[in-house]
Amino acid sequence: MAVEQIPAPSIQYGGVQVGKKSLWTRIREGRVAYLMLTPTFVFLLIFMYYPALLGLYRSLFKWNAGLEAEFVSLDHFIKLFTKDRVFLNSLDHMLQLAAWYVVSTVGVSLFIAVLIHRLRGGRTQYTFRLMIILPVVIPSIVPLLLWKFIYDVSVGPLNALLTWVGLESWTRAWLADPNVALYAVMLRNFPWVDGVAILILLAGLQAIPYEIVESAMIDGANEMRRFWSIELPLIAGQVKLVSVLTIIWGVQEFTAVFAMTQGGPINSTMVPGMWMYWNAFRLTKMGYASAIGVVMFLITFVFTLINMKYITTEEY
Amino acid sequence: MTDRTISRRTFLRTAGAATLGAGMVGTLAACQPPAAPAGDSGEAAVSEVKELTTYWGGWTPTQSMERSEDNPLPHNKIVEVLDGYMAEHPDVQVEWIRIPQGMQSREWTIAQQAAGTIPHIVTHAHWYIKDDLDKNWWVELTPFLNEPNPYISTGEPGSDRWLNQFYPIPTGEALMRDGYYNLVFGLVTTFFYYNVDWFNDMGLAAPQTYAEFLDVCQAFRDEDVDAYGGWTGRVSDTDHWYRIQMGGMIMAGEIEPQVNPDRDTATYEEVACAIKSEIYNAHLPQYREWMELWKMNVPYRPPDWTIQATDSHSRFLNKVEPIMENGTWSFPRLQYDPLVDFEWSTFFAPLLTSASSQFVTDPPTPAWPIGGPVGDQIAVTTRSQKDGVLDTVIDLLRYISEPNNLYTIQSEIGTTMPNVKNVPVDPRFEDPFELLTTQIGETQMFVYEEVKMDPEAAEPIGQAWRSYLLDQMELDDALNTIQEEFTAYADRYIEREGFECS
Repeated sequence: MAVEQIPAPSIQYGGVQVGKKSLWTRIREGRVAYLMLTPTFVFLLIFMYYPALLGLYRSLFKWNAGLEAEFVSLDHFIKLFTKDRVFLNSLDHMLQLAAWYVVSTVGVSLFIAVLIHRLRGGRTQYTFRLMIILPVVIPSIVPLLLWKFIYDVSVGPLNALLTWVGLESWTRAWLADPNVALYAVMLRNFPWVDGVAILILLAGLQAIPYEIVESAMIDGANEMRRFWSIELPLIAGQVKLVSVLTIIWGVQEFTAVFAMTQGGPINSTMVPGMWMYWNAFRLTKMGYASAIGVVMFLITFVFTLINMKYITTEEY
Repeated sequence: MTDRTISRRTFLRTAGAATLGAGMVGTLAACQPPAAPAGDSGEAAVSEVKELTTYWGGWTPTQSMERSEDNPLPHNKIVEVLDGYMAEHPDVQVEWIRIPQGMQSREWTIAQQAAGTIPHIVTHAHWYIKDDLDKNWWVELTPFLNEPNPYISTGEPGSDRWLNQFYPIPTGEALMRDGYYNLVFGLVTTFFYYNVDWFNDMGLAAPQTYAEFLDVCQAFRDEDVDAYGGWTGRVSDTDHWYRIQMGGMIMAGEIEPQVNPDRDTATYEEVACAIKSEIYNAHLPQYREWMELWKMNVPYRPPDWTIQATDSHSRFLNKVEPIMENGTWSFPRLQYDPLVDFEWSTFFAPLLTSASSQFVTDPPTPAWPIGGPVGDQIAVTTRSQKDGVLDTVIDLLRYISEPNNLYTIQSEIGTTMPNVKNVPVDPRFEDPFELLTTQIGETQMFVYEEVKMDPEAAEPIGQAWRSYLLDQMELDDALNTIQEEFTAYADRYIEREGFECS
């Protein structure tokens, strides 16, 4: 079955070709709208862009809060990548966390989304969707504290469960042992169901015209083939979005580490976000902390570019 | 064809109108003058009111006055004292604030100072303030301390000179560049609390030496009990305070007389110069032995000791751990907690003797008390000057220094001893009080990294110690790391302060 080609939307308004108008004319015609949008952009500039640009500027200065700043050019960046062992290790931890977040968030969410999508009854689908999204309303700090309790060495349910099933030798101080603390932080929130990601992916699946799926099934595609050859390519845009958001989350990880381990023990769970905070507010090295922030931004940017380039979106 | 039901222009207009509307409402609300309090008599009266913003640290009223496991020491007497002050001074309005739970005081202070939103009065430790002296963040209080405290009756300490209200030895420890930048209202120290009943059942006595301490711990280990409980500080501070005391005992023989000959407060200059001249360094045999000896007690700790501030109180009270190293502030908790159905007592830092170390003096030098002028440290921010309320701030602090007022606040909480004369001392604290007002506390201990160096050095030194204790780093590597940080600190401090070591 052929897919109907939808013509490109017209760009004519009132019979006049917009493209022929000058930029100034178009701005003038939309002045009321642009004027009304101005507050939003002003606040964006003040609260989002200005601090970010200031951070970039400050990263070139040795600046102990409260004292005069001293221009040091790229010294902070050189030190970060040549001398700062904590930072270099934190990059390794960050990569491990980000990779796991992508695998667990995209993988599990996609799996759940496909399962829900395949449910026959609309009411059942709705119920599952509701159950998946409800936990999103819980403040994110709550599961972190809950998992901190789960990992507790003496009263935590995890060690109790292991003891109960006869695996007492596996029990340990999960967040206090430098050999396992990072994995404990990583594997929290089991079974890693992300309500928002599932909704995004499910929306993508539901937007696929059934005629496409039906034609594939008539041609003999089984469930796996349907998923790999039809659905996955057609929701690549959603997968890309979830992946980018998850990478950003992984690179900027701070909350979980701050709440559960503070980067310890002996920096075994230190991540760049935490190290930035440490340098800024413990050591008052604001310029150095800004340089870490700049590096984090660049890492996010590069990962996002790679993602955008290599995950291609199919159109239908 | 398109399935869009609204045009871009319509969308822009709608979104813009909504944003503008919300922005205007917010702006108008923000620009509204605060509602006048009931009974306000007029504009003139409002403009004359001096408004102070304050943060009182441990004195801050608890959220609830109901005693519970989560709220063992409910208190709110600071409000009573502030109300008393405002009643005497109707032109002063004192607001007190809380800081976000879980936020460390130092981080919060740096952020607020940098933003210019710091309260006029805050609690802040002198070992942090020393790193801020060039930042114009804190008001030097020396000139005010040299003036009389008008709230003190003639002839009483402080009536001629406010400084005379404070005990001289601990107060002198807070001197920085020959000036005072905070007021120390409270004294604290640390002990080993132990479960006497449990010890008796095991046929054990309170250990007097480190060797005996390890024997006691081993006896509990044989019963599969983690004996050495206690508060784990943050990495830059220490894992247990006894570590610092042990370092002091090892260094007392040969090293301390060279670093701090008068055995008075070890000044920052003395410590930096001792490092610079390598009198004190991480490659000393004493330092190596200190680390080796200290590691010997790690097997007797609970497995999660590396986590900051493990709840040792609950474990001690629930008879999970028989020994808890903690501060004087644990006394009231142990006194009031309904879980305490056993006899408990304390012992001081066990002596390091020649049975454990070849470097100790003969007879062994007892550990110096940890703590000292550490509790209830109040500082005045330079925002007070900018806001023109410095005189009022000083007056309020003088009012709080009045013995009855200070006693009202401190006695309700019961976690510190007063550093102000004529304030009654709880009988439980008589011994440590005597110790801390006649001897120097931790400021004598040149080995205390957090107190005698800066966080930039103390953090990696602490990490090296813990890495070694957790078998994640060889001793030689740890010592090399520590020495690197020692040297970097000494260079940094000497350059910043601009002096030369003789």
